[in-house]
Amino acid sequence: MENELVSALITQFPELEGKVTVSKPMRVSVDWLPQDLFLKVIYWLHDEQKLTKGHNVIGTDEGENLGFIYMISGPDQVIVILRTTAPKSDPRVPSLSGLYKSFVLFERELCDLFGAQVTGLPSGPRYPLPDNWPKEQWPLRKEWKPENFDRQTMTYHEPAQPAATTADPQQAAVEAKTEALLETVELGEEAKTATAYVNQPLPDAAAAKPPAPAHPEGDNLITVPIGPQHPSLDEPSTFTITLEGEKVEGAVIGIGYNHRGLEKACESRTYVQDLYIIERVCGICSHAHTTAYCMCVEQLAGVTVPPRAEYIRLIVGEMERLHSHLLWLGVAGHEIGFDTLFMMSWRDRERVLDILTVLGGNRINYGINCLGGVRRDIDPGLAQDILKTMDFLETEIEYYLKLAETDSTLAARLAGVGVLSKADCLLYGAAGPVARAAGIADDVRQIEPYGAYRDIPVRVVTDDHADVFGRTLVRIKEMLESIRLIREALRLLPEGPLTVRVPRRIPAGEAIIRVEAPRGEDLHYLRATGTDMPDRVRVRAPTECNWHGMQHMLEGGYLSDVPITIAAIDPCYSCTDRAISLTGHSSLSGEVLDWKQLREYSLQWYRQRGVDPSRIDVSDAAARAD
Amino acid sequence: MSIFKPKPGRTQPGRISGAAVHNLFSHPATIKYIGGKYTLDKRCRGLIKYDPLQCIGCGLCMKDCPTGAITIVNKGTKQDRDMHAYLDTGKCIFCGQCADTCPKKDIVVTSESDLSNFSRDGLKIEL
Repeated sequence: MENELVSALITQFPELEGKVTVSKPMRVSVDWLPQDLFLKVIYWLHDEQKLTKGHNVIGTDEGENLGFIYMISGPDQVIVILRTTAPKSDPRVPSLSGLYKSFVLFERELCDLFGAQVTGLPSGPRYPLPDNWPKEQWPLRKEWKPENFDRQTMTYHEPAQPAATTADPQQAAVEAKTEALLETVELGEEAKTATAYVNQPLPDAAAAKPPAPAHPEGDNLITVPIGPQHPSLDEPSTFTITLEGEKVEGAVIGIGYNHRGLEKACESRTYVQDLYIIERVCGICSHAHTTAYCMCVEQLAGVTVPPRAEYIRLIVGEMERLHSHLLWLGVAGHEIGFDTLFMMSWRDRERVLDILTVLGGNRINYGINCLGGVRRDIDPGLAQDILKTMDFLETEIEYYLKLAETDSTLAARLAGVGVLSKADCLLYGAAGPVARAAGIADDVRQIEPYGAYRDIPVRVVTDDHADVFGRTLVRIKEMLESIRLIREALRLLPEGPLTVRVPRRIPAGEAIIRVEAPRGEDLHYLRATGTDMPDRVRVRAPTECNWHGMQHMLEGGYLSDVPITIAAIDPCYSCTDRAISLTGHSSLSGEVLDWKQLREYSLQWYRQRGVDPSRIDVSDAAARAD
Repeated sequence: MSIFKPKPGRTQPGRISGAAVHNLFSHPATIKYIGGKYTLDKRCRGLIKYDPLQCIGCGLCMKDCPTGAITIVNKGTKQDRDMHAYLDTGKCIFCGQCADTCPKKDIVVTSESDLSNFSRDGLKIEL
């Protein structure tokens, strides 16, 4: 497959001779191309070769230039990696979001994090940096240092040059002393708080307004802002929903509240330390992320993981899928008012977590993976415990399946809600259970088996409902498949060592690894330069490509279906944003208030609007309430 | 067929009365925080244990710690070592990487997890 594609590329574009390589099976890598040739190639691949699925866009810092790496694939699932550059002085690159709908978020990231000017990108809310982020600050460029950034005031200060300080050190010492004296003697703790409160600017009325709706409010159109506090799952995002009656006419999605800058943090730490950062990208699919990261490092270091370690990775991975899907089932039940299901499935989830605690050592971030293998072994006693738990879960999950298939209330509530057809899934690049519910057998464990999945083939679960009901069925059936895989892996568990040694310095190169996380395809990119720290780490979590179809899913539905539609893609905001800004979207830019300050602020807020809170007679209100 | 049709076994009258009586006399499922006895599996990761006599002071644990929680200080001389280890349990994420890295294996992970303190400084302990 790969070689056919390479020869077709070279026949069509003779200038690509020697620039196209098959870096490993299922990967075709094209060297850096000038923008005009790059555009010709990608349009030709999209139109003639039908490479219509956009996986990822990665920005890199190449010194004088900005690099853009595009990953696309077609029906035969070979990922083609295309690269182009733009100088930092004129960082313009055309938007490909017309060609690949799934590139919108990735290209917004290029604008925010690298300062690229993506021409033709559709307008929309900013992503992923906070609204009050200073202009001209692009954190993922190499010259941007996190230690120079003050999060309280949201300003970036270049470090002062040592030569510039020509002032007399004695004079400076006296000044510092006087200042210290003034602070301690004249201003007490109370007085300091008071000044801080007076100096604090009140929010600008214009800035405090909600973002403009996509559709102007007509006679019968109402705009409802949902979020950012816990719109469906307990995670932040905003949905500006335009309604006509109860029907959703338009939806604008605002995400990026959870940007923690993990990718930047990874660049200044060693490979071993990064493992724990990557593990904390997401609380649910922590094992999938570390597996992908470890596989990247192992591929670059050229080591082979012992078979026993691969089997243990599979077992933990499948248990993670079990607990993730059980969690989702509970949340979905909660969203539709079926709280009994929520209690039951979360009770079962605890059984899985108990096993994972014993197996890994921690309840959520198990830390079972290490570079070159796994850290803990499964002893026969634990294997027995796992099998016992699997027997218990099988009966429970079969009961849930029966419930989902036969209960008329559940079917009536979920069928036809949040429809994303097969064609739309391909257009928006949906992944994981969302795509599988539309009949696309998109499962990395089958397309590109890794680790122990090479020995134990996976039966991919698909469905043709293409709605929330289908996604429920797919997830429940996948749990049964996971149980089968765990039993099979425990039966075939080979003997041998658990780890191989991985050097601290990783040879230069780049790795692109796909892993099937519970929510879909998880794609990691790692570039090494021969030192003990990575040059660039890019985590493309599965939720990030499921967001693009969300607007389409919401439009045409009803307002009461919005929470379950959002929950149905099993969104993980921290996965998507990867990166916490404590001062994030606060209208009081750059201030963290304590209780007292918050109270003072609220009193002032009311006074400004002509309400004197001290005059409100509370006893009267209490008497009326009685 | 409706799933709400109860199974034959589930229709016995008074089936849940046993549970009601059990709940009446059983202890609560939650554990009182101070004074309550709780058990954690031995394989869970908690506070690390450090043996100053074995330590060669290579500092690899400090280098590999993802959060910079552990500090090893030699208060003696190169020949006559006097090793001390300090751990900021507020920073520690209990990953156990220091125990994995240690070439002498004198850092051991225990399942000790009762580490809370009323002050932030009280979280910094000497091992």
